[in-house]
Amino acid sequence: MNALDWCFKKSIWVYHVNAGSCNGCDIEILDVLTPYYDVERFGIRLVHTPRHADALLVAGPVTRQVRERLIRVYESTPDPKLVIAVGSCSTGGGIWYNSYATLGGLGNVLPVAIYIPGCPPRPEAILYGVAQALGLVPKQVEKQEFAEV
Amino acid sequence: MNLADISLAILYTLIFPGFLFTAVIGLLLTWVDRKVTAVIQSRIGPPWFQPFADIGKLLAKRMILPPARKPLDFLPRLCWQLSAPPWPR
Repeated sequence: MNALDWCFKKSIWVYHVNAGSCNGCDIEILDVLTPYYDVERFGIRLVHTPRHADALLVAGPVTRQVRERLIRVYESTPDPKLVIAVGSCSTGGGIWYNSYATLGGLGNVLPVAIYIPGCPPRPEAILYGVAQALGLVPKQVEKQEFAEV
Repeated sequence: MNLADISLAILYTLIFPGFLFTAVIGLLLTWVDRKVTAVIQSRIGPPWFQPFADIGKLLAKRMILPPARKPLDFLPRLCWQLSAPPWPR
């Protein structure tokens, strides 16, 4: 493995984006950052600007108002970067999947590295998802798709 | 001043009390600070190579520059910084 790739996997700084979330996923993301879960042992840190970030934790169905700002946040994050969709809403729109006010999930707006479903997802699930996006732990479930009839 | 003096001066400047030693010991002391904080909070804390991994990652990140930049844009900042030296006057 390349030494710089190793450094990227050992030091991931996340930026937390609220894209119209109801605050439930935000509270769970803050739970992950508490001393109880101790993400600092994996080198994960919360930063306060996308210019410093390696991963964007996006919560919420992407509302039409926030779409432009979300794209600006994505473009101001320097490469290499990961986009992680946290919660049912950013995974597929949640209960707002066909609302006129949202764009029905993060996958319609940005290239997403990993989806973490749940309403809200447990802190362990968020931690596992970030570790899986970095390739530190194996995948546990297969991708499933459902069509509306 | 012979060659040995000059090479010793370069060694002092670059290696031992100079740039390399202070950089490594400074990074390790930031790790000690974070580890002590972690132990006080009853958690494990970062591994010892964490500051070095951070530096390596930041070196590998792509640089973003504002599109309307000019070379003299940073001159006022430089003048302001030079007008406030860190030593007492």
